[in-house]
Amino acid sequence: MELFPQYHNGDSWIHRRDPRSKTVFFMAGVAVALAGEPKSVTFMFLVLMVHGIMARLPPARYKTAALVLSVTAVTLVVVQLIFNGVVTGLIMAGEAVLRLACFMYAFMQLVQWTHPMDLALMGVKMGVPYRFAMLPVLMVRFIPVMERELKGIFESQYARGERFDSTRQKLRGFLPVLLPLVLRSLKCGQEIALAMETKGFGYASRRTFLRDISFTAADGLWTAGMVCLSGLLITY
Amino acid sequence: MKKFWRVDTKALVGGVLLGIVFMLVQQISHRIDSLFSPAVMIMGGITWATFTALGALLFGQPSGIIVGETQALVANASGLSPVALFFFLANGLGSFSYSLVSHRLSMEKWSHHLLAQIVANLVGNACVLLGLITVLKLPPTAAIISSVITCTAGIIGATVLTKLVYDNLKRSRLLDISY
Repeated sequence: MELFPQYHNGDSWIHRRDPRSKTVFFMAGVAVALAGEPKSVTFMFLVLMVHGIMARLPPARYKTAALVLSVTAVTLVVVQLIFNGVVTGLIMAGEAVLRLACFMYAFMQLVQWTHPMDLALMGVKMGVPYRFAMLPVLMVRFIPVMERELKGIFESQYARGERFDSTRQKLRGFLPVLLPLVLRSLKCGQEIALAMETKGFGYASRRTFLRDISFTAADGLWTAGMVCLSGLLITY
Repeated sequence: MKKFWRVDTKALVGGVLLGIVFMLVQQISHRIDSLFSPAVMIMGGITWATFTALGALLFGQPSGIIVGETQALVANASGLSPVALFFFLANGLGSFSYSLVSHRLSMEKWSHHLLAQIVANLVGNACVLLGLITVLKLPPTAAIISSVITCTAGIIGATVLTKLVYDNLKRSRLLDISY
């Protein structure tokens, strides 16, 4: 189960945009999701969806997110029903789910159509020291690795007789999974850090990159359009 | 004396990887909480406080904050919780406040871990309380009760878990903890 969406390799018009304009696009989506009226949030969600189609992002990638969101939605509905009654509770829960979906969708699009290295380059251009700017790249790269480690630990404990079928068994098996996972991550971190340092990471205060990013006129137009649209939707 | 500020590669990379583990563990614990107590995050609170403490203890700052922010980032992208947006603030401030306390103590006694957890949990849960009131629109009294329960569970559960895991790690010599 892919918890965090990975970069989708493509050559669409959106894929070719500068990471700074993509970040502004994402922030516009988030701003409307947080501050807009429900009608504005719905409109922004549709705008995001059109961009998703333009970027040819495969819809199957949202399956896990939809599953996670549905669990969160159930939690929201239960909480709102307890404290705000049936009608008001359902309306409030629906509104919160809509905002959350818009926020999630914007975030998932950003990580799917922006190469992790472009995010690092954006950080460097904005004056962030490269040692810190490279960390999101590392995070995106190692999420699937750690997910595989977790799966491996679950299977190892299962082979040793631990069962994870019922909720009670999952609760009981929590610690035997937690400790090996923490130990594995620390060992893995040490190995990666050593490998990076032997390749010269952190030796010089500045470093060069194989590729560069540039903010074109098309980026400017797209960014300005999104800023205006989000401003209109928030004040509407 | 433990170093408060560490920007070596081992600490930065370790912080990111522990942040990913933090995120994976939070995914499991939030699902368990959703089944038993949707309004009160007990397992989520305990694991949050444990990993906030481990990040600050093992790697110092700013890696402790990196651990928390990595989790907050993925929590927002994957819709882990309706109040996930407030995790950025809670995780950052929680880790920083834990470091401020643990930096001055030897962290060899139970009381040291308890004191540091009290401070981190109060700061972190105060941030999430804002989310419960503004995002979930819970009545303030209900939000405060929910936060107090999460905070209490976090302080007790995470003190025990952190001490156990931290002592085990020190014994294993897996990390050169003598900064």
